Amino acid sequence: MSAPVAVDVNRGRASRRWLAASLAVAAAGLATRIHDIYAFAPLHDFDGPGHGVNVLALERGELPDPQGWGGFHPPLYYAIGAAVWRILPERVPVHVGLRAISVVAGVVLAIVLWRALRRFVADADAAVTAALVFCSPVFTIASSMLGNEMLGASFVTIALMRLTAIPPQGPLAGHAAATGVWLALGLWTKSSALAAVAAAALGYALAGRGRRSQAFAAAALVVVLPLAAASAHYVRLMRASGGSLLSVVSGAAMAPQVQEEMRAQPPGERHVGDYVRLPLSAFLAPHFSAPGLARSVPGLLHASAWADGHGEFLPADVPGVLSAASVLSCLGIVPALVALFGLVRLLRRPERYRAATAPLVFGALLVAALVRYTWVLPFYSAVKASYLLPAALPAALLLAVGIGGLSPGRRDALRGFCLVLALLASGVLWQGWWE
Amino acid sequence: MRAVIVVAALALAACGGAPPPDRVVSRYFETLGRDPLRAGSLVSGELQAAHGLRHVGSTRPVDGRGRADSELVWLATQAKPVFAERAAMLSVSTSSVQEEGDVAEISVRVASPGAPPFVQRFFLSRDGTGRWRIDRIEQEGVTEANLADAFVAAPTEVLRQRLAAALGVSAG
Repeated sequence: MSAPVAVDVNRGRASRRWLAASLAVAAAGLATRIHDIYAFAPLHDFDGPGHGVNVLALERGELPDPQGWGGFHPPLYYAIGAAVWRILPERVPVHVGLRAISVVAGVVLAIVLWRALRRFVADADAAVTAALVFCSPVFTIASSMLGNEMLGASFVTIALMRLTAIPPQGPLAGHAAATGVWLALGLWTKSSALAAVAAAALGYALAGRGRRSQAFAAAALVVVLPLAAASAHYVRLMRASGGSLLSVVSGAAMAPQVQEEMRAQPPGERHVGDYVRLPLSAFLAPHFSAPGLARSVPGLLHASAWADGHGEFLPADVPGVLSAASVLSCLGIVPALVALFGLVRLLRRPERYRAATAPLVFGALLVAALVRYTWVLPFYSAVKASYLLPAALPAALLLAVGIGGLSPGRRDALRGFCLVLALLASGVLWQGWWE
Repeated sequence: MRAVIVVAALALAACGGAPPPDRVVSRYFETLGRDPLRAGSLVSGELQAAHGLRHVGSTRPVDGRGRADSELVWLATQAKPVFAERAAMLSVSTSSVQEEGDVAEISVRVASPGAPPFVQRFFLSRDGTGRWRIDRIEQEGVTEANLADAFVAAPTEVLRQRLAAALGVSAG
């Protein structure tokens, strides 16, 4: 056997070993979710009662009240939930069935991530990154809870994946129409898909160089189709709120209960410094009540990405739990820095990642929207990493590109680190280990 | 799309036979605290409008609030860990069942270890889809000794405040 073929065979074997290891770790993450959807207390999910009210409305055959706590949310998740309820055995609580929707959506999203990443990075890096994202605390918690976040993120991620695979030749209309359908489903699930519509228009416009009329038509189609399909919901919201744009993204615009509860939350007002301050408590005590953390936007984002910064899933008052979460938060610094390194690599060689332009632009838009949202609503509950879940693809791409930029020895060490972190996260998030 | 969602939900809601009123009352107790959404589907808007429950510390008036707001607090009350624990301790036996056309009245005896029993009467009616829902609950024989059980069996603001006073905590 000649040397280059031997190297290729060895690389192939190594790649398959990393894929197998990533699958095993992801399986552990899935096991955690299946356990947690039963073990996690009923309706302790983030805004659990609010989402529950919406499902009750659909179960009665009514649309959610836009003046209710979560009534501003589009109804698709709740309609699916009501349908699942109909076939659920009586011994299975309804909230478990609703959480299972999030589990399935999370699995789909992770698979889509892996497939999309393989277009840009080595198979091993794609697999390891997808496994880490799948098992990360923000992802695990959101996909173990009832609510529309994970389903909305999965529809958006499918649309974004399609934007990385726009046909280089031939007609674009069919491809754009299919993308538009996924975006419509996203808009019927969560309003954050609006930013994905804008990114999709850009994606088709850029991909259509040399076929300008087709590019224009595709860009228009991918905007008009989902907006037209979902307009009924958003027009209804705007009417109910008297034209408030905030009503599209937050119950604070209309629901008096939301306004009352948010007004009681810290910090209560925003300063520019909140967006640059990063207290040590984000890593050593990642709970919003820790000194300085309720005010720090990057701090609480990190704490809610790599731990349970809002204290919604883990009992922070139980000895050992906050320490375990702190370990995750500290270790989470590594992938965060590697993703930053990946951003630098990407900016230095943009032509290599041109097909990822639209997803990356979407990620930037979502971050900008979150900055705006947290400024308008200066309360700690508005600073949630799960709001950025629809940007899982661009975030994962930055991480995978960062991993791929290391020398072979360091790359293997980092891959191993990522899988260990993923496994550790699955363990810490297993409900009840502290009992 | 909106019409499709509602029609599909109604069609699915109509699937399967509706349980009789005494079974609805049994399911109510089986699901309290353990399966709050199923419990919520057994009660009507009339009951939700009447319980008066409010979030602790809330100063908003409850009169005239929408069904969604009333349901929210009712569900949040059931989500308290101590609620589910207490509900699991209740033992219920049916005393009488009266059904006439689209209305029914079920009387049950509710007891728990160490607390005197009380009577709880359910008033149900059939909704437009043929399903029985609980419109009103009345209780007899509620004293300080079984106040917690009474609150869990039929959460209302009146009982919550009585319970808070009995426990010596702020009613909020």
